[in-house]
Amino acid sequence: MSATIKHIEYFLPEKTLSNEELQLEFPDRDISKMEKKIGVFSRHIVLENETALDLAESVCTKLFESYDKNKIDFIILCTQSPDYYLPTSACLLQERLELSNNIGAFDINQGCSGFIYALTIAKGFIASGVANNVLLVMAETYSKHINPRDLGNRMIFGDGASAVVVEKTETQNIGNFVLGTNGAGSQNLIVPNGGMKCRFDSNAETIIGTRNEERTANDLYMNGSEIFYFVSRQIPGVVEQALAKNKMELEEVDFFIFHQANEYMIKSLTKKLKIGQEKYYNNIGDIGNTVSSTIPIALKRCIDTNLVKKGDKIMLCGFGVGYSWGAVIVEL
Amino acid sequence: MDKRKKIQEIVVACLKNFGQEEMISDFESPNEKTKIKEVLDSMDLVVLSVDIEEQYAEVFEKEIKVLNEEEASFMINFKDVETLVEYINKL
Repeated sequence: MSATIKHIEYFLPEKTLSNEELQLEFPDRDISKMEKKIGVFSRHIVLENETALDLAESVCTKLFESYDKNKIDFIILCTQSPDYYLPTSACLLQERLELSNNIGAFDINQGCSGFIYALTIAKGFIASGVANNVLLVMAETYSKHINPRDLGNRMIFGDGASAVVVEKTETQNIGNFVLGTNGAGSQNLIVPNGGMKCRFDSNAETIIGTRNEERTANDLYMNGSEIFYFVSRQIPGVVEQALAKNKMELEEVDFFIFHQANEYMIKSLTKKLKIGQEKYYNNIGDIGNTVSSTIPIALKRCIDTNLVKKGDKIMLCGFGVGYSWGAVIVEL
Repeated sequence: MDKRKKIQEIVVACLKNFGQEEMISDFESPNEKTKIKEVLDSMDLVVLSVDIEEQYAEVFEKEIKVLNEEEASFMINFKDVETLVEYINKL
């Protein structure tokens, strides 16, 4: 049995945070220089009482304006900002959306590779007859993990959610996957406290980073250079593997959507792979890095602006926290 | 050609490649005293490091890691072409 990506929606919280506002908070830092490099001038941020589950509910409600929710027979929710340790956000979402009790639902804890992993599972469920119409929901609020005095990460990340329906179809439009993991990089992108190993510590001491960013062990830590180094070394090879697995040449791919980490990283990656700028997406200026939602949001925006069209073969490639990565070629 | 000379050629070639792309005039004709750290930021240095590593592997058939995780060493290694070449030569 074959599968196809059928419907895509995304939702961004109402509140925005511009670089001008950040500049007022950090008068001693040259934000314009960072903006040029990162390519983000504004991002959407959740309110204190707003969570990833709220974003998930909002994006699904938006999706169901043009899709019969009663067709959904499985929910896979990808988040690293769950409301609770347990139960899963997917179970709470099923109840909020008033979906049937006869559907499966679970969370996956993945970051920037999350959409590719969720898509892998959906394709597998359809192929094995477990489900026919799988709802993938990516919802993330990294702003809640970031210390208010960590300018670099506040500039990069934005909150948001996306929803994708993967349906059983006659033709196979989701190609072969390449997935990879290297846990040796786990300490380079981490929220150290809050789990079972190191519980949340309200007295955690402030750590001053090399660029004067402040954080505690309760907050998100990202070693940007090491992450970029991993991407530069690892991802070109992943693209080649995905091409080989799908028996395609680079030139045969109509469009590339990489995880929208930041503008400089995408430019560097595509330059290395010799992909012309007309064949890849690089635009997160108004939303920032929304983690597992960057690929579906980019795909939706590409469809809406006719950057891609029906029949196009599109490579999707996600990578990040873990380290974890994945790539696939889909046909619209 | 000795190893150090070959490494210097690699570093200079990678810098030139970088300079052409980013229009950094300092790298049009890099020499031993060309300041790297003053012109490139940390993201640029990652790209430069990976380029150098790949070229090095091609020439010497050996994998190295130019990017050093220790910030202090990182600053010194990329101070100028000479210190970077010296650092790579010892890897």
